[in-house]
Amino acid sequence: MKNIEVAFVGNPNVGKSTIINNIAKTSLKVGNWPGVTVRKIEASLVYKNYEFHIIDLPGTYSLDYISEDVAVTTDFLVNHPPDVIINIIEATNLERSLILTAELIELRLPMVIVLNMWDEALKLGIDIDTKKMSELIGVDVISSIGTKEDLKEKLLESIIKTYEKNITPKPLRYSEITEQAIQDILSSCAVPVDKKIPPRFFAIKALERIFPCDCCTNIISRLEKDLKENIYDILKKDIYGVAHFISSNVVKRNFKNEIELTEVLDKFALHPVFGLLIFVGVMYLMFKLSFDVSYPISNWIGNFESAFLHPLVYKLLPKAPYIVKSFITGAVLDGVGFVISFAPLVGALFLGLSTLEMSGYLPRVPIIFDRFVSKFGIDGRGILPFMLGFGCNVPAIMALKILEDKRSKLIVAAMIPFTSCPARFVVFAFFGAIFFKNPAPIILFLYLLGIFFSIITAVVMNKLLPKAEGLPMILELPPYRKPPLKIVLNIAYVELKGFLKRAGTFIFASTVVVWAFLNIPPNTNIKDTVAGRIGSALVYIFKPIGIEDWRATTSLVPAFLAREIIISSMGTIYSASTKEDYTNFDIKKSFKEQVASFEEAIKNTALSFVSPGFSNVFTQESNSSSVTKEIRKSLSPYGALSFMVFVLLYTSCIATVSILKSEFGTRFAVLFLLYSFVLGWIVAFVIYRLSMVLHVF
Amino acid sequence: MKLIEVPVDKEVNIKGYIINGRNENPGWKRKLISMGIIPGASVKVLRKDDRNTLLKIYNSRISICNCLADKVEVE
Repeated sequence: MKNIEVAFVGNPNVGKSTIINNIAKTSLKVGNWPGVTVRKIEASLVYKNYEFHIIDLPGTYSLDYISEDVAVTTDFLVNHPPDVIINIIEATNLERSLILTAELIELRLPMVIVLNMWDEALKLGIDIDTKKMSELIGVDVISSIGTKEDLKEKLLESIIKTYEKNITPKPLRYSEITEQAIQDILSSCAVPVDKKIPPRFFAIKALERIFPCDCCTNIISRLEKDLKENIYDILKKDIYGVAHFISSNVVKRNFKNEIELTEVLDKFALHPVFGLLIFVGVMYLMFKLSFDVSYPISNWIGNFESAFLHPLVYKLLPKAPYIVKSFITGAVLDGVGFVISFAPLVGALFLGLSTLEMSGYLPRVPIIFDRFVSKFGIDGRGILPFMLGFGCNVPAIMALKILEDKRSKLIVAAMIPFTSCPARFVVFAFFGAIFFKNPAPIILFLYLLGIFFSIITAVVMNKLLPKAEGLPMILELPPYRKPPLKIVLNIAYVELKGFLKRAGTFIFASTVVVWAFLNIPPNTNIKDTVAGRIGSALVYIFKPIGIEDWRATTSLVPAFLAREIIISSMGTIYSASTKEDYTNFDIKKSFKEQVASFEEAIKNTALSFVSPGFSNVFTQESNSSSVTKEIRKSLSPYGALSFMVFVLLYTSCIATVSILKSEFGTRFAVLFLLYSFVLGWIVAFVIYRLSMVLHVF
Repeated sequence: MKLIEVPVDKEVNIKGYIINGRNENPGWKRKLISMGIIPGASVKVLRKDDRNTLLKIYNSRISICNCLADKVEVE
């Protein structure tokens, strides 16, 4: 079997990850903004007698080192030339995309060009002659719709042909001035021996002052003095000329005024006042719908676990030692099962978020906030990784690579941990559902509170850090489009799978530890166990913010590993302190009841689509499990709000702290952890006291 | 070359690069070039204020700049 290493290269947001997901059946994260892929990602597949090793490189407009993610792509292509380059081009944006193609051509590597978003181009009246384009460039040109099934065979066959016949693009020739400058560098300056790149590519990048070379600098200075023009401008005009020549020869019909609808919508969506109102309204609707649609099923899973599976364990294992039954019900069912009951909610939330992202709305949010955040020393571009934080704080901090200066990176890094990631969302959903009739406004408040303290943190950082002039923001916006269902479902699937995987591994392991601490020493009053003693000691710290029950404070201890563990821990701790009587349990009767209750949940879910707010059943006493009843008794709604505020602001996530440490050092990570704890406590205290004085609930 | 201001909602052809009217930050021009905002493109300013200018660039996607990118070089 032959191995072929294939690198996917293209502008940001042209669908590279989508195509790889299609051909390799992977689940790479795709998105509708630059920065989704900030490091090279690998996948493999076998086709015929070939094993394809696929590398997804961060999107770039040119091969340079303008930001860290772009440097990843440039470094990879320069230092580890792949067997075949797949240059993904957006068919609706041909001329501009061909500028990168011109640079790739100079690498003299076998290449295949994929014209993606072919369907959108046709809709816009753009007709590209792929045969002629192939003749002009000298490599295969394939039209593609990233999600279509037939792409796989077409692309893989072309890669095999290109690899076997070593099909490289035709060499380019620029203006006489540029060609002379290249020749001068090649004849006078030595190409560094550690570079695996063609000498001509080195000379071109030296002219752009990207590769440092004293000899080249002298030649460039002399040329610029003679020509009285910047050699970089001349070279770029030549590259633009190549792109324009190819484009004008292969585009049969061009389009004009293609995005009228986008322009009209943007007049409102990007308006300084209406834009903000629309943003708040859209996010509120999304949360509301996510809740209403998912609650009946989430509620059913919770009840199924406590009202059916619990007694079933005791019924089926009557003679098993108590410790075994306690482990199955306490650690497995009440711990992990409790977290899993929130899977429908997480899935619904990500369906909503990915729909907004793929529709083109979410990528516009940086513009809505740009003017505002510019006051705190960052530009709207920092909002992109910040927004990724709503997906997960860890990749968001990694996505800071798209920012060009360290000052902005530090400021945004300190903002990200206050964004409400799904782990927090699960805790908010859990508490919101138990304590409040309409949880959507509470959750929206928490999201906005997180954003508010992100900004406060940015203000503080902006004051503390030395001033610097960064590069300005230039951001491309995709047109508004109908969200592709397949991609939207894929994003939600990837996130949900990650959530369930964590529930089955990391969260399960943590829950076992909590369960063990609740049983050491054995046969003791639960308050005298290790967990009980830790929780009781912590009550002194958390009592002023309304968390007075030792079981609630105990659940915060393992939550430092990950916030979702709060729920599994609560499930385990509260169930351990609740005595249930299963003597009258009838398997057949109970199963029938569960089936009927499931049918009811499905019906409520369907109704919630047409009538949001219909299925707010979590707060109904009769439908609650014994654990949720116990939790509701242990905290007041004010205490629950305070608990959520503390969870929002305190960075209780070991993965986030680790990535802060690896990107910005131990000092920054530790200081930030302390800052977030103190801030979380103070804000929870203020909100707890204020909400009680104002009788909010 | 001279600079002209582009009014909102009027389409113009850029002969040179789009120029930052507020400050001549060389990094900005290089960034625009590296992103492939092409000289000769047909441009329309959709909206502008004291910070942002929303440009429609006909052979590219809509772009946003945090600068007064409403002045262009003409020959």
